[in-house]
Amino acid sequence: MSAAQRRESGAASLVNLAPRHKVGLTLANPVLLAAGVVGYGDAVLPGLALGRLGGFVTAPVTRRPWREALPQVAETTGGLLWQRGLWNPGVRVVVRDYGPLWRRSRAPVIVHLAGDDPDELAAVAATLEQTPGVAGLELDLLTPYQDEAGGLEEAAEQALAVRSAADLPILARVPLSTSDEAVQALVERELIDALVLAQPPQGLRYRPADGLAATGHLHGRALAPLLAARIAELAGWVGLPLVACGGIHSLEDALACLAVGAAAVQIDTALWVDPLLPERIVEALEG
Amino acid sequence: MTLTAVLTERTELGQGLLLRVQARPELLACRPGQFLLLRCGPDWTPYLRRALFPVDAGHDSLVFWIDSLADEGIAWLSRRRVGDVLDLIGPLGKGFALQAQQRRLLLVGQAAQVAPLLALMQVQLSRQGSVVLLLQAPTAAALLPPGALPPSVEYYTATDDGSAGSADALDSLLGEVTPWADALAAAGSPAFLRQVQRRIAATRPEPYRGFAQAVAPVPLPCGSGACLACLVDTGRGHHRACQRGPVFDLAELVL
Ligand code: FES
Repeated sequence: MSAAQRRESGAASLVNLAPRHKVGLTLANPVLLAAGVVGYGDAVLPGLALGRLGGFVTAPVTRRPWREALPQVAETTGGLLWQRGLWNPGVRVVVRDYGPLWRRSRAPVIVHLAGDDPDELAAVAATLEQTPGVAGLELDLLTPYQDEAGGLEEAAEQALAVRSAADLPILARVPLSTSDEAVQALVERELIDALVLAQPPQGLRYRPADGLAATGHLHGRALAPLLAARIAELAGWVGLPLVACGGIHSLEDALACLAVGAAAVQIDTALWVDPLLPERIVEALEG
Repeated sequence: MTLTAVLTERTELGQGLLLRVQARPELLACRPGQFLLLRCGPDWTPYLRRALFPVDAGHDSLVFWIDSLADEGIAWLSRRRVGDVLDLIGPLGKGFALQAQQRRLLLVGQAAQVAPLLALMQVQLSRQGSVVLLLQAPTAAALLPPGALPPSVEYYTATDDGSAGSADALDSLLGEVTPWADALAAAGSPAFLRQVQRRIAATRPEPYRGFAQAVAPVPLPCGSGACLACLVDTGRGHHRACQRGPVFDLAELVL
């Protein structure tokens, strides 16, 4: 249902991101914040009304503390490269420090699981299932240009491990380059409840003046049309809710993704520049 | 909350510009060492907001001194005209803390990062304290002109090219003035702050925790605690400068 249809039907902006799941993941509106842009819900600029939004996805959580290369941000033209890594204190500390905040949160909290090892993912998922306030889980499946067969098996194992460990809705975030065949294979296995498009692509910025190069995940406005195009391609036949994530920097960007078939949108680093953007989108959708 | 402020004055000062903006009380509450985030235009280029440290706050206005026009965002700000509206968020972070008994304040900085020190200078003068400012810059032209400072401030300079005090002057000045001071505030690059740390340790045999504070030399891209690009090593873990700082006890900074 497009945003306009939603308004006309009087269904306000209610959206269920996990209609196949027995509990579901019902959001008051289809405006989410992407993984990590408000940390664990603690990193909020003044003016951002988190409770008005459909929900937010946390920064990554691993089983054990992950503190490797220091995170970096490098500005690019119209965007940035964010080299965040999986920096986090481990699930036990995350739950201890932020669990109370999640319990009180008016906006549903979706925790972003990180790591490759299915056992580790399962352990984190099991802990989170016991944590009040966690409404769903998001995990990255596949990597760009991953060997389809091997990559799919690995992704399926990871999703199965999480599914077996926790009875929470699962959002799978995949690369933009994921083929139709790979998407279909993931969907057919019935291990995920919604598909998030897309993992931010890897970028590199080189400065000729000093010869310095910076790498990281690319965020920026130029990604919005790419995202809308892929959502439009998949919307007709993927039987799962699609969540548009990346490049959304305006009401128009959000409406475009919703119009071509996204069930919800995730705002990413645009939030740091325009913290009122998500609420403006919510208000526009509510008419 | 994103708040608007109006540019009311724009004056050349040294190599830079002094900008006065009329602002709402929420922004005027910015204490020395705290910062505001400026949106550099509506076009997402430059993309990120820029952290600005006011050099002074009046009853209805804030003053900024910008000199680093090499940065695209600051260059954008330098092109604003009187009457233009600025989009600011803040105040953010934790600033300097001066105790009532700290009467003799030594400020040590590099010119490009001096703004939060100037704000602290104003606070110290307003409570009739004494201030010495040691400023280092690549050249004399990059220094703050002496006429821009209140006459009661003792001002010493060091420049890399020797045009206004030799490059070594900073170290010897620090050695001379540190014993006089009962509080020190610093701002500069990691190498600069390491030099200050070494000098203090050599001059004050007792542990200097509580004596010296510094603005952590890290970028502040998001200001919210999310990006982690501002992590600071305190020897007891990493902390987000935009949340626990950007002002830290200099003794605890691992640079
Ligand atoms: S500036 Fe982004 S976490 Fe501190």
